[in-house]
Parts: sequence; structure tokens; C-alpha cells
Amino acid sequence: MKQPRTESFTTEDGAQIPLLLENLSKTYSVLEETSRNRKTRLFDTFDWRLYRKNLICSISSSRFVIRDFAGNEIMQCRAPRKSRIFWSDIDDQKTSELLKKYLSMRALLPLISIEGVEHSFKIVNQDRKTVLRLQIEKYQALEGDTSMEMPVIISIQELRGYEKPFDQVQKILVRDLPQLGQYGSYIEQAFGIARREPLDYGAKFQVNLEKEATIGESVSVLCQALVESMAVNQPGVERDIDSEFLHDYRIGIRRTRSLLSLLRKKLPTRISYFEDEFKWLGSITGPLRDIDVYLLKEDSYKSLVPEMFEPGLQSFFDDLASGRQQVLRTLRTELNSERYERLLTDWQFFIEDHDSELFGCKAHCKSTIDKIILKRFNSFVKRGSGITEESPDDALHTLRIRGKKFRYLLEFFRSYYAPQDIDNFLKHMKKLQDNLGDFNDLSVQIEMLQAKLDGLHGRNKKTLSLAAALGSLITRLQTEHQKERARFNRIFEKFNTESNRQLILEMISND
Amino acid sequence: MKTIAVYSSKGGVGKTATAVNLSYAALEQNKRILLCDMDSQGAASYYYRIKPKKKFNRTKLLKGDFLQFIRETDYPGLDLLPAHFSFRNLDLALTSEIDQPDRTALRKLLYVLEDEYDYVFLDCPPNLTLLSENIIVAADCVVTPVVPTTLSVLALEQLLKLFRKVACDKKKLLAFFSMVEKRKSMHAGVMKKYLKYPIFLRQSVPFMADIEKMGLYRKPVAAGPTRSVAPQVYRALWQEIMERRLKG
Ligand SMILES: Nc1ncnc2c1ncn2[C@@H]1O[C@H](COP(=O)(O)OP(=O)(O)OP(=O)(O)O)[C@@H](O)[C@H]1O
Ligand SMILES: [Mg+2]
Repeated sequence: MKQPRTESFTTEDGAQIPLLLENLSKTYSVLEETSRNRKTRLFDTFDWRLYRKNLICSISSSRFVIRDFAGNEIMQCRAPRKSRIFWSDIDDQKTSELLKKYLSMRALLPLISIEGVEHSFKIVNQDRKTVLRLQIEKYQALEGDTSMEMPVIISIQELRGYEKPFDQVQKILVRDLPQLGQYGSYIEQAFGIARREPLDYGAKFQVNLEKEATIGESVSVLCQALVESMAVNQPGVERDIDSEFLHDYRIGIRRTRSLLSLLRKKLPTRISYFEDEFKWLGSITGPLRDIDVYLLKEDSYKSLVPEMFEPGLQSFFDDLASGRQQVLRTLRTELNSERYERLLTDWQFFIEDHDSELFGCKAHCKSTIDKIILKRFNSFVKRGSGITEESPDDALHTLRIRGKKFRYLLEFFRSYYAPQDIDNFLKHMKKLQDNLGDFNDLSVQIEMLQAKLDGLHGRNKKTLSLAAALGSLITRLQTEHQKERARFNRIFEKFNTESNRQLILEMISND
Repeated sequence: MKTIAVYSSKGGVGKTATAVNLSYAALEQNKRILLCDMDSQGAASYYYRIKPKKKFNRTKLLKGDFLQFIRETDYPGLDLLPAHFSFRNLDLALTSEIDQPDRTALRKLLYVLEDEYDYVFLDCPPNLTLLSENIIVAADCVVTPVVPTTLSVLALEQLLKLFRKVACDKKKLLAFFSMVEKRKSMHAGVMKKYLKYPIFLRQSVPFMADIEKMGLYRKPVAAGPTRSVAPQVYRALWQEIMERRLKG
């Protein structure tokens, strides 16, 4: 059976509405049925994970709704009473599964509100039978104390079997009003007043550098972008919104350290002070990240051990979670310490101020980078080729760090080259880096779990069942660890090809 | 989809009142409902303020060309197929279509609604004809109002005979006492005697002014202006019907 039609129109000019209703009531009986206050709050993750999938999430009248840009409802369920929503806060299984896929560990945060009135009218015939429904929605976008009028929406809904009234009113509206575009673009207008705007933050590093710039100028631009990415994440770290704020914050530290070490020889000696301080920053943020990493692995660890060990493992996670608060407090103190404050001030001066020694580095940046890329690539490949099945684990760990540094290098200076070439190369490199990354993660985990196991004292029931669970888990992780190790040589061979070498050579010779 | 026919060979026993209010009670449980007005008098259509479109008639109905004539009531989720004057000799038409009485015609016609609705209610005219046989065959459940008088009980026995004639499972017939007036001794006597039979639902519908006034407001009692117990009665009746016949 054909579904009854609905159609929506819009007008910036609210004054048109009374006129329109007056016109309609010349031909039809128009009765106002209800008028309802509506308040909708829009949500997304800090890095717009839903928006990137063309989805819009809102809470209105205690309903949690996910729509696509066209306005179709994808999911809807009862809203949790929280202003920070993880996938696991949603009762409805289908919705929470969908969110798990898109959000992963990230929290949904409230962005802006859209508030207003929805007037419902019915158009009735001589029998006072409703033959058409009409809605007029007037909203304001609100954030804090600022607000903005949204265009008025006028919608008509056909009732099955009453085609004529719909056709007739539609004709009148089409003549006078533009049709409402996509729901998504209507919503986007609301961001006009917001501090945030869609896609204003993403973890991907993208900076455009001048091809003629000196080393000092380029490092200044890159470091400003990095410090900015740390600054936007810091409040989320301190308010402990979700674990990804700290993760991204630490990537900012790591990238900064990586950049300084890549160009160490070309930069003023003063950078050794900053290298030390960023290393310190890495070390004070490390403990919390370590705990988060294990907490994020809770489900996967539990799935690795036989069911009877699960309760034992639970006590491991409970201990982590209860120790976490103290670690977070310590981190907050450090982030508000004088030392931190001084680092930021000194750093800001060093990378921004034109009197800074940094701007004395006047060598042409791109030609230096060309050389560094080639050198780093060659040494990476050489180091990797030297690894045999018998090489110690450390050889792989060092290779992983070199690889990561090389990847950062390409990402920093992406704009010097054809970006698609870089992306292409990084795609080829990804499999190798994933293998090395997994291998390293497993080494670290096994070591940490082993240390935990060795440190257990006493023979009470809880300790024994934890020991059994850890033992079982370590065995499983060791198997995985060996598997990753065994895969390395084949994966490296696939990466170490003439065509990948050509890709790099062409990239740096292409101007 | 389940089909519920509200049927009795007797006139004025509350069939239409029942069909109109039961379909609304089913709607209240968020189901997709169609009420088919099979009575050319069009009382159910009148209560829902719906007139048939000009092009609708018996021939179109019997050809299966009736989806386009279904109209939405004022209550989203509840649709109605209005009656047409030409329905008055539907039974004759059923015979002439293929020269011999066809008891399954209606059942086949309703088949196209299978995925569209959860419950289809039939408000039937008061007679004992081939149309009645079609209705009994088509329905998953035949609900028959019985005014607690000796004569009405006779009509129920007649109906049981009809079930035997068309070889239908008697279990799908459910009776309930309609327009019950507690003060009348005959009502009390008949109910006392017959309520013990399993064919009778526990829930009866008393004679209530609010139901009588439906014609004035042209709305099901639950959507009407007065607060009364009538909607509760129909909800309970619907609940019992579902438990007895429509579950699973
Ligand atoms: N429970 C009740 N209490 C009071 N009045 C009722 C009740 N049920 C029905 N009526 C009224 O009795 C009259 C006949 O009811 P209704 O039209 O529902 O019966 P019917 O069996 O459909 O009749 P017909 O055989 O003519 O189609 C109507 O005026 C109706 O409003
Ligand atoms: Mg009737």
C-alpha cells in the first residue's frame, strides 16, 4: 500500500505564516489542535564521529534519536539521564551496538540546543473529519546566552485516502515557499551560533606549509598546530570525559618530540631543554594512559580466558579502576604545576616569537626534508632487512619506533608532496606498522601482567583465582605474541618492494 | 494479521458499537488496525466520520480493487474501509460471481492486507446469508454480542448451527453479554444460566449512556468528551478476546 505523503517547506520570514493560515481558511476549516514546546539537544563526540558518518544524534522528550542527514530515523530509544553518553549507557541493544561501532571509547557530548514551539493544525471537512495535518515549527538555536532564530518549518501530512486536500494545499505552498532542504543542512545552520562547528576537530594531522619556508618557519607552524591540538584536548583530560582526550594529547607530545629529534641537528641547542621537558610530560601522562589501555581491553581479555577465570580477572580490572582516580589526581596536579606552566610559556615564546632563536634556522626546509626522508627510508629498510627469524625482540621494537617516526615525518610534511602519494605510501606501510605495533603491545602487556603475577602475595581465594586468571591470560597473549613475530618477515618483504622505493623517490623528486 | 468479525444475525444488539470501540482499544496498543464496514447502512463509517469515495462500489470490492478506498481515521494507525450503499446485496453478488456459492471469497480478498495491518475488524450486517458464511470462514475470531434475553440466546444457537454447516471450528466463536441492564431480572437470570459456558467471555458490556451517545459525538467512547468507564470495559473485552483466541 502506498505510504501517505509528507512534505516540508521553510521560510525565513515568520510574518508570512499568519497570512498563509488566513489564506488557507478561506477554502478550508483550519483548526489548531495542539501546540507543544520542543527542546532538542544535539550530541556528538569531540571528534564528530557520528557527523562523519552523516548521522545526527539528538535527545528530545527523553527520547534518544539517531537520524541520517535526510532526516530518516535510524534508531530511537529511551534517553539516558546523562550529559556524557557512552555506548554502554544505552539500554536498547540495537542502538548501543550501532553506537559501539561508531563511537568506540568516545563519549557523546551535548553540543547545542534547538528549542521552540510546534503548532499542529488539522484541516477538516463538513463532517469535521480531519483530511490533512499541518505543522508549523518555530525554533531557536541556543548555546549558553546566545541564540539565533531558525527558519520556520511548515509541513503537511497526507491522511490515507484523502489525496485531494494534500494536492491542493501542496500547490498553494509550493507557489509561496521554498521546500525544506535536507534535515542535515537545517541542523547545520544551528551551528552558526555555536563555539564548535562540524568537523572542527579530528585526530588526523593536517598542516599546510609554504614550499619556500625556512626550517625555523616550518617548525614554528608545525609546533603551533601540535600545541593547539594538545590545548584543545587538555580540558577533556582534566575533566576525564573519555580516554581519547589523553590519547590525542599524548600523540601531540609524541609528535612534537619526534619532530624535534628528526631535526635536532638543524635546530638551536636550546631544544634539548624542550626535549627534556616534553619527555617529562610524556612520563607524567603515561601512568593514566597505561591504566586506560588495560581498562579498554577488559572485554577482549575476558574473551581470551576460559569463563571460569573471568571472576579472577574481574578483580584485576576492579583494582585498576579504583587506583585510577589517584593517578588522575596526580596528573591534574602536574598539569597545573609551575613546571608545566613554565614549559608552555617558554615553548610558546620559542615557536612563536620572532626574536626566538628558532627563526635563526634559515636553511630551506623542503630540501632538508627531502634528504631526511630518503635517509630515514633507507635506514629503515636496511634495519628491517637485517631482521631474521632469530633476531631478538628488541630489533623489532626499534624498527617500530623508527617506522613511527618516519610516518610522522611524512605526515608533517605532507603538503610539500603530492598528498595522495603520501597516503598511498602510508597505506602500504600500515600493515607493517600494525604488525610491529601489535607485537610491541603484546610484549608490553605480557611484561606488565607477568610483573603483576610475580608481585602477588598470600594464598587467599581471591589472590589464587587472580593468579590463575593472569596465568591463563599470559599464556594466550604469548601465543598471539609468537604469531605476530612469525608474521613479521613475510609482511616486511611485502613492504620492502621496488615499487614502494620508487614511490618515495618519485615523491621527493616531484616538484 | 488477525481478522475479527463482530457478527450477529440479530439487529441492534451492539455489533457496531463493539466493532468501533474494540478497534480503538486495539489501536491503543500501538497496532495497525483496519476496520471494514461491511454493512451498507454505514454506521461504523458514520461514527468515524468517513464517507466512501464516489468511485467505490461492490464490484470493485469483489474484484479486490479496494486498497485505494481505505481511508485514515482521525486516529493515526486506525484505517477504515467505508461501506457503500451497493453493499446491500453483497451476498447475491457473491453467488453470481461464479454461479455457485463461494464461501472463501472474502477470505481471499482480505489476503492482500496481510502485511499492512495487525488486526482487521469486520462490522457485519444483521443477517444469515452467504455473506455471513463468508465472514465466518474469513475470520480468525467471530465475536457475537448477546443481549441477555431468551430470544437472543436462540440466535446464538442458530449461529452455532451455521458453524456446523460451514464446517468451522466452534472454538473461534466467542460470545459476550451486551447492553446488560443489571436491574432487569430477565437479564440477571439469563446471565446466571449461561455465563458458565466457555463460549461466553467473562467480560460483559453494560448498557451505558456514554455508548448510546456515540452517535452524537461521532467518536469512539475512549476519544469522546466524557470520562466514563466505557473505554475500560472495551479494553478489558479486547484483552480477554486476545487471550482466548489471538495469542501466539
Ligand atoms: N452498551 C450499550 N449501552 C447503551 N447503548 C448501546 C450499547 N450498545 C449499543 N448501544 C446503542 O444501541 C443502538 C444499536 O447498537 P448498534 O448499532 O451498535 O447495534 P448493531 O448490532 O450494530 O445494530 P445493526 O444490527 O442495526 O447494525 C445504537 O443506538 C447504540 O448506540
Ligand atoms: Mg451495525
